[in-house]
This record gives sequence, C-alpha cells and structure tokens, in this order.
Amino acid sequence: MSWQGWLQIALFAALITALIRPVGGYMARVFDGQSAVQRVIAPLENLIYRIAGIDPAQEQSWIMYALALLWFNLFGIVALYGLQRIQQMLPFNPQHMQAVEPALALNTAVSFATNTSWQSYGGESTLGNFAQMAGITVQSFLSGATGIAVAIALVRGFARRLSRTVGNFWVDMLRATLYVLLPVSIVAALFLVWQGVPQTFGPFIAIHTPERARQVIAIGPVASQEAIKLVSGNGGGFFNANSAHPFENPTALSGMLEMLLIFFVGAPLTNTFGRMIGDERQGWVLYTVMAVMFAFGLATVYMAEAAPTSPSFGIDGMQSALQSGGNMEGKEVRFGPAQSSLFATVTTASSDGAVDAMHDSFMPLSGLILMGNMMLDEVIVGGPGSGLFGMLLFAIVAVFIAGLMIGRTPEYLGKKIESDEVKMTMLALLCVPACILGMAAVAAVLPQGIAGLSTAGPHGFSELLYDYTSAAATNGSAFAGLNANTPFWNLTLAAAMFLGRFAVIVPVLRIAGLLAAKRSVPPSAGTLPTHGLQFASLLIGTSVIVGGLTFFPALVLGPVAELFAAH
Amino acid sequence: MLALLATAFALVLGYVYLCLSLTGPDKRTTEPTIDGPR
Repeated sequence: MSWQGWLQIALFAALITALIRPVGGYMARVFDGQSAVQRVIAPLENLIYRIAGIDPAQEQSWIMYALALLWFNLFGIVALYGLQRIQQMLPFNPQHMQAVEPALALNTAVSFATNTSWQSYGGESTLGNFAQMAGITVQSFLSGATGIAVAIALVRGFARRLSRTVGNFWVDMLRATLYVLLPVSIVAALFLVWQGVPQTFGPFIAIHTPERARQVIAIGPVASQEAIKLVSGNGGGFFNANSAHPFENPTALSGMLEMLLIFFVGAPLTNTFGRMIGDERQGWVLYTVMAVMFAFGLATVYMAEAAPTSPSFGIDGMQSALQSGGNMEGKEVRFGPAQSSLFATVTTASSDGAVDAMHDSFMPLSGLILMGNMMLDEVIVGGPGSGLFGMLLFAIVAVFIAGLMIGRTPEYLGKKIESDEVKMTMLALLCVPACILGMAAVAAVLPQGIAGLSTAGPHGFSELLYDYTSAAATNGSAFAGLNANTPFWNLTLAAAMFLGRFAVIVPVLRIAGLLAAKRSVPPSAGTLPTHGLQFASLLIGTSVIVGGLTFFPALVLGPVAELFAAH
Repeated sequence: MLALLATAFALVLGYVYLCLSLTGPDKRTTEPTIDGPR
C-alpha cells in the first residue's frame, strides 16, 4: 500500500460525497417537475409525450406502472434480439459482422434490457456499430432510467398519504433519460474523447508492427457508449477487455472519472429520497450505511492486492523501480493495485459491472469481498435506483426486526409496516439468493455447466458462483476464466438476469402501492428513530446478516476454501 | 427463442398476479396492530 493509493481513494470519497447534495437536489426537482433545466427543455419533453400519446398528468396505480414497465422492457429485449439477428443487413457495419447466433443474442438482449450487461461475447469481434449504438447504447439508457423510475415510485410510496397512484412510468422514465442520464453522458463522452477514447464511424485500422506483423486495431463510436455504460450502471463495454482497454479507459484520470460516473446517480439518489420524503437526514443515514460497507470492502481488497509478497501464490510483489508492488497479475500498469482495487470495489458495489482489471486474478480474499458486494443485493450504492430500492427493502426488514424486539408495530417514515409489506419485501430479497444458489448448484453438477470452467477446485467453483451472482444481481462483471458462450450458460445466465431484475421490481412496486395508500402516523414514544447512528448500525447488521450470511456456505466452498488452501 | 421470451414474460405476469394475491387490496386504513390504534 502507498500513501498515493490512499490519497486517490480519499479523493474519490470526497468527490462523491461532495456530489450528494447538488445532484440529489437536482434529481428531486426533476422528478417533482420543478427543475430550472426542465423549464428550458420542456418543449422537447412535451413533444415526446404528444408523439407517444402520453398524458403526463395522468398517474398510474402500482399495477399499471408495473405493467407499463414490463411491456416496455419486453419490447426492449425483443428489439435488441432482432437487431443482433439481422445486423449483417444494417448500416454502419464496416467490418461486416454477421448475425449473432440465437442463444447469444438472447443472452445479450436480456442482459442489456435488465441493466446487467453481462457479455458472453467480445464487442469488437461480434457487433457492428449500428447494433452497438441503436442496441447496446439505447438499452443502457433505458434500463438505467427504468431502475431510477422504480426507486422514485417507491419513494413516492413513502411520501404520499392515502394515494391510489405512485406516479407515471413513462414520465419518470423519460425525465430520468432526458434530464439525468443524457446530459451527464454527453459531458462525460466529450471528456473521454479528450482523454483519447475514439468516437468514429470509420473501419478498423490495419497497421504493421515493427516486427512486420499485421495488427488490426478496433475503433468505433466508443466514447458515447462508454459514458452511458458507466452512468447507467450497465457496464457493457465496446471492447471485450472493457475498461481495461486503453481505448475505453486510456489514463488514470479517465479511470477516476469512470468510477465517479458509476456512482454519479446511485449515491446522490439517497439525498433525492431524503428530500422527497421531507427529511434529508433519512437520506444521509442510507448514504452512511452504504459508505461504511463500501469502506470496509475497499480497505480489505486494497490490503489484499497491495500486500508486498504472497509466496504461496508465487508472486513477487515487492515494490521496486520496475514495478508498483502488490499483485499485478490481471491489472493494467497505468492503474496499479490502488485504482484497480478501487474500481473493482466500485463496480461490484454498484451493479455496474465494468472492469479495469481481471477479477479472476485478484487474491481470494478480494474475490470474496467482490462477490459479497454483489450478494448484498446491490445495496452499497447499487445501480441507478436499484441500490436505493434495495437498501429500502433492508430498511423495512430492519424496522420489522426492531419492532419484534421492542414489541411494537414497526413503522418507517410514518408508515406502519404490516404483513403485506413484509411478505413483498421477503419475496424481493429471497428471489435473488434462490436464483444464484439454485442455478450455481445445478451448474456445479451438470457436465454442461462444468465444461465452461477453466479451473477445477475452489477457484473453479468461485468462477461459477461469481458469474451467477453477477447475473442475478444484475451486475454483469465477469470473474473471467469461464467460457460462457455455450447454449447452457447463455440460457441459464439469461434466466438469472431476467429473474434477478423483474422478480425484484414487481414486489418493490407492490410495496410502493401499499405504502402510498396508507395514512401517515405521527411519531410516538414507541417509534424507532430512523435518522441516527442506532438505526444505521441496525441496517448494516440486517444487510450483512440477511444478505450476506445467506451465501456463507457457498462462499466457504469457493473463495474461503481457496484462501485457506493457500496458507 | 421468441417462444422462450413469451414464456418468460407469461411467467412474470403470473408473478404479478402472485404479488397481488399474496397481499390483497390496498388498505386505506391500517390493520389492528400490536400496540392498538393511535
């Protein structure tokens, strides 16, 4: 470890924390329809409503909101599937990429429409520019906006009293795209172009190396896809190597920007939540919980990756004039252990899934943390929206447990938490672990599952467990070392992504509907305060016990066994 | 593949129905609670 590494981490933490209030406040105004920017762009927004035949003043019940969301996302999956299947006939395909085979096309379509961005393909060798732009990039915007819309609907559930509606999905989705994701992506894309990321419709460039070998250098409209890949929490790269590729992430400065973009919407949404319910302190509690869990994970990963020597792994990790020290296998020299550890923790805590280093090459303890981040169900910042609603689910469980302990009916933000809300919360929280553990168990015994692994033993099991975790938690990062482009892996991972997204969103919207219909109860002597450290501690405990311990037996077979086997 | 997608979506609609049937109609007043009405 170095002081420069810790300084870099401290700078990242300071910048993100500084963004919480301005960005959170801006988003609260956008979804209330009161932003100054909105007044300027309102003609465009209204034009889109007129073309689409939407009345923005007409609100929806939770079920209409959910059905609009489901139909919209189904259309996204079908459209992206179709684009890949006919891409050889589409324009902007200078490399003449052929149609993607059906199982891979389905996996990719589900992956990007669910905000997962799992990639069983290499972008530069599979997709033409049109499929990348009109398919991958568009779905990155729309799936990110979908997550934000769900979170806003749930927040309205807490904020409203005796209401039959939770908002209008089309309005929320459009505003999230138009006022949040699009402006940030445009600025970020220009910044990335300045740093050296290509943005062109030109064909790949063929050069001759000094050894007279022919090398083809892939280029394309990378910067525009890169920006939304990070802001939307999607994470699917233009290139197979993702943010480790020098054309996706050329410098340490672009690396810092990319990490900030990953948290840019998710972290400030806690403040948006606080403002919309009329008590910013509630938002700060959620952010504090996220920050504490993030700091613990990051410190562990950085210490494991920067440890000077690991003789049992045959690594010479001593810092010298020739190397930066620590475990450099699978890491880019321009990032080093500090930024790679930070990026890996950010990307797994956030559900983004972009990578600037190969997680398969991280130390077992780091692999354990990275998997644990995802297994906590996207609550440490999470994806845009999904982190907030995931954390609010744990908050409901926390007040429920506290209610049982003190013998009073649980309340959260003035709403009584009753059996219906708890049923839906448990449904949402249990479907992801059931999906991960069930599918990993099946893949671990079927020859089709084992055939994709590159390694046997605990590390092989870690590869398998990581990839189902990544899919069901809609993260999308890969542990590497697994050949997932087979019908078995493509279809089972697509199922995991589909369930991990929609089997959570539907109960969340049901909770929004139930809460919005309730009256508010004033706080009393029996009310558990939810704006202080006591509740923050309870929430951390609940998240770790309910979210983390569910996976403990599986983790023991993978990274924990690998860790102990090495010593 | 499209048939597979249609099946998946039918399952999700069934899941929406499950959520509805598990919870019943929205309650505009709270249920009787452990600590009684306020």
